[in-house]
Amino acid sequence: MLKRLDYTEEYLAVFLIVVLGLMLSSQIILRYVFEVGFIWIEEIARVIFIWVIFLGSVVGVRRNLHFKVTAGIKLLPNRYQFPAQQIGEMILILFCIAITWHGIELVYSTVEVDFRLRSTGISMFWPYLIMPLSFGLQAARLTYRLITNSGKHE
Amino acid sequence: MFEFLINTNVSFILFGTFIILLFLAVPIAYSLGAATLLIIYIHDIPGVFMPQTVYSASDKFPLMAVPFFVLAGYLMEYGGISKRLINFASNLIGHVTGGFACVTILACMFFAAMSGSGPATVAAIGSIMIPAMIRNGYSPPFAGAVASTGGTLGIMIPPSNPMIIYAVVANVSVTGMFTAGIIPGLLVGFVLILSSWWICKQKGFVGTSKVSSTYDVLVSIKDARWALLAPVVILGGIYSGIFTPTEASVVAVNYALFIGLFLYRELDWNKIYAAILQAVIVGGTVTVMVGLAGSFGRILTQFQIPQQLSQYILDISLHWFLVLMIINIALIIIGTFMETLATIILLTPLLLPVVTALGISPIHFGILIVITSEIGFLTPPLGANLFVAMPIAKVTLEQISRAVFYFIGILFLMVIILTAIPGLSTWLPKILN
Repeated sequence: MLKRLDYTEEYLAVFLIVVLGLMLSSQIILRYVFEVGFIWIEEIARVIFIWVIFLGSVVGVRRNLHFKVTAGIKLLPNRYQFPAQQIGEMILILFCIAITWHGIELVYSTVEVDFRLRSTGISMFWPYLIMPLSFGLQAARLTYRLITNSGKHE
Repeated sequence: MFEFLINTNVSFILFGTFIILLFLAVPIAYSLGAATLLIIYIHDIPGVFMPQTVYSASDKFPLMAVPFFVLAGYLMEYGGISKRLINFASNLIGHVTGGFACVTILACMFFAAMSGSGPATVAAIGSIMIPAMIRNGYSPPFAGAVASTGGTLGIMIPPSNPMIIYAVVANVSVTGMFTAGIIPGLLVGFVLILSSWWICKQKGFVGTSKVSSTYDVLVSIKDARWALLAPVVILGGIYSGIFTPTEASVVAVNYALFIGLFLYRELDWNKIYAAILQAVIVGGTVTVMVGLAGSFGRILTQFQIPQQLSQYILDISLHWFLVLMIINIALIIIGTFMETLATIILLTPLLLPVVTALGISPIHFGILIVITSEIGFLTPPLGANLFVAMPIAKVTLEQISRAVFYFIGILFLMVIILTAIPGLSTWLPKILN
């Protein structure tokens, strides 16, 4: 059960991209077969897309698949490689925490000043919510990895 | 606390931080983001600038095509389309000297016309053709090199993920880039077929033993008709203006699902889930890069760094061809250790103002970025296509790198030709517009 929970963001992202695919497909069918178009489909599709990709980047963090240059660190003498990598990870975590914090500010600003999507009238609260959520989850994943890895190295 | 830094040059801090973080193996996207954040803190810009610009840079409709083309590519590979394409290609030209190598490249060209990624094309065609070549007496490193090189056509022949990303970052039309890619894509494809024929002739590598009869060719066309129809639907739809590239990517997914599930019946739920997960991961890693590079680009513009760079280059007053070749070589060098899409996302905002100041069309420059990326796929230490082909051919990075060297030379020749003759890239979009 806990193992399943570990994949929550992955399942959610897969689910949402399927929904996105269905929405875009139905938009094409509606336009060319029934000759009607709905602007709101595109607007919601864009929000879902942002959710998919920022959940996807959490998956990328968990599976360690983000593009990086590893050639640089290999130039260091062997015993410095691991500490250098850990420093990099720590900076990465701090960065994710900072974006989470500013993301919360951004989400909060939509509560103070009303800001809505043009045709559906959905508050920007929902689209912006993925920013702190995604970077917060990334920070959590990275911290967990940092702690378990440093244990392994000892 | 940062006062002493304010007077230090912004670009120095920006690029210095970025390079240090890259060195510490921080992912490229996040290195860009952290360097940007540092500048924001130093110059007292409100922190919400970051998530806001990241959001608006990723909120682009054409970007949606990237994960869906990835999904379509995997579905076609898992769904048995590559097998039929190879069968067709081998009936067409399999009997010539070095036939297996030529078939590999030709099949890659077909597959490239429905997929937008290089490594995916190597996987789809190479997993069948590399063992076939080795069985027929080709040396394993050469077999791997041919498939890796053929795979680079995945990004040169539209649809192409690097072209989509470039179009979004450079603010040009995706359809325009796809149109521009036709002539260079076919040209590079045919030159690669010719050169593998020539190399095979030198080495005495053979083709299939029999010349296919017209009947065989017709049977293989019939067998591959659904696969061959895919580029017609996808590219035809885009070029005729029926679909936007994003819609075409979704159509491609539906098409691949339909043939994979109901006609060839080689797809099952596990394969579909695996394909969707790949799409999510590519979307997540690439788009987060577009987003964070978006904030980085905004800071660059705010401090007029690209303008300063282009002024500097204009002042040296070199011939445009020379400037482009210097940029090409720099792109090739960066491409040896950096991922293709990362290179495009990072360097386009910086270099595009320079080349447009020299009067070069953004479309022409986009094609050059794509073909230099092709070389990046083939050069160690980070040559994505080589890494896909190596385990299939069971060779080491050293062996395959040596074998692929010829092809890198040929591609570099193509870089020179495409740089010198802008019309190869710009003529078709101009007359079709």
